[in-house]
Amino acid sequence: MRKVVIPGEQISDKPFVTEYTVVEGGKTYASVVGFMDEENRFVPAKSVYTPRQGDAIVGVVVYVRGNGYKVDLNLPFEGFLSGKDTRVPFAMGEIMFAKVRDVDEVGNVDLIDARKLPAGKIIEFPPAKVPRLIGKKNSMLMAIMQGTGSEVYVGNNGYVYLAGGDIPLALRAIDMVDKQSHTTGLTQQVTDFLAQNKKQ
Amino acid sequence: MAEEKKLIINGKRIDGRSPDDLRPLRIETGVLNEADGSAFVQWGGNKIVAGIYGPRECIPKHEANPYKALVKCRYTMSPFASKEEHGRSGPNRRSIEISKVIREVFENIVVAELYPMTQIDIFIDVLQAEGGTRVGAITAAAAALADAGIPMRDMVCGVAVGKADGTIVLDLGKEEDNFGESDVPMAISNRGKELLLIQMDGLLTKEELAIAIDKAMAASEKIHAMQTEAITKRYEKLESEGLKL
Repeated sequence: MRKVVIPGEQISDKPFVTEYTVVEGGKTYASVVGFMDEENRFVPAKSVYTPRQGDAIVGVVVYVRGNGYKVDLNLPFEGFLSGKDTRVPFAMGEIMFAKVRDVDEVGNVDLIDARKLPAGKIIEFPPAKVPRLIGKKNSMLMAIMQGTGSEVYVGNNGYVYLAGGDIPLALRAIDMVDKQSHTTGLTQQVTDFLAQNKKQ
Repeated sequence: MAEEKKLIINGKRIDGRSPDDLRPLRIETGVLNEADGSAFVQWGGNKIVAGIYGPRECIPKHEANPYKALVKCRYTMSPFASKEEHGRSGPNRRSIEISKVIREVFENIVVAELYPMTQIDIFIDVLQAEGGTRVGAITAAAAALADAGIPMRDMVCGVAVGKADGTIVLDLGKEEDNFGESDVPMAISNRGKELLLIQMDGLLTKEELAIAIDKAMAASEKIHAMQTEAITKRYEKLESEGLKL
């Protein structure tokens, strides 16, 4: 059975410097609520997203400036996409799928490899559960896309973009992943759920 | 005082507790939809709700620190919180002081270095008060921070110890707080057993204070167990629901 761990609880008597842990006196303690999985690894249940180099993000253009674009990324601050790094011009309110090129020491995010996405729906999803929504080798994402016919882009920042197909059904499937993200065999459950509820 | 009222009769306190008993305590997390994390504490006659936002953009911007996140705290008591008139619930001398001491507790346990240039807001509203609201507020805010997924070095909880009718009593109620000899609210971290808050209203001798701290340490274990239960319960419940499908 998976054990729920709360902040300050010891997860190892050796020092492991990873995300969401603190090391004190040579021992490792959890710093957020999480689970110990079968291999005794710590998996955070809920956390605040910190951008990393190479993360894929979904963002919305909020400012157009002479030298580039300010992009809303579900973070305390907007990210920046330089005009030099994109051939596609963006307008305010347009959605992009991009990569994080660099994050500096105070958390300013530089973007690169931006693709414009056509108008669609953006929802917020807990960033800690994003790996679950994508699944092993995109399995969960493929299941949702095939089951609903929607175009789905998932950003590590917790923004999920949806367009076309049966969006209400896709939203229910995503909600299901959110609520049951810590159970096993979830991809199969979602596939079955989508097959049962598919519009004839 | 016109009429002398006994606070302890035959070793029992006004509400029937013995000196080392806590009032009934119930903690629940995730009670608010819009906040990033939240908790509700019902502790005797106290009803306290805490909501967390953040880390988010620091406002005013000139306060932002490029080395760490700011922890901000606002404690307010609602106009209908207790028998006495509290007026409108804006900041007053008392609530500004309590906000400050609570903020200092959480500045010590939040891992603020991870989120430079941002602020973490802790909002605490006391809906009903019956003595010991600041310790209840700390207990609620710690559970809410855990619910929000904000990294913390340790869990913390609050408990008050005081003196009424010459006896050291745990977790003072309204009458003991107002008419007893002393009231010492404390905040204690669980793992490190650090005293992150200690205030004293009234007087205790050195020896009495040592006993009071020991009692608070013992009680903090119980309160911490309830906080843990409140935080883990949500996930365990989800897991059992998930397995049914």
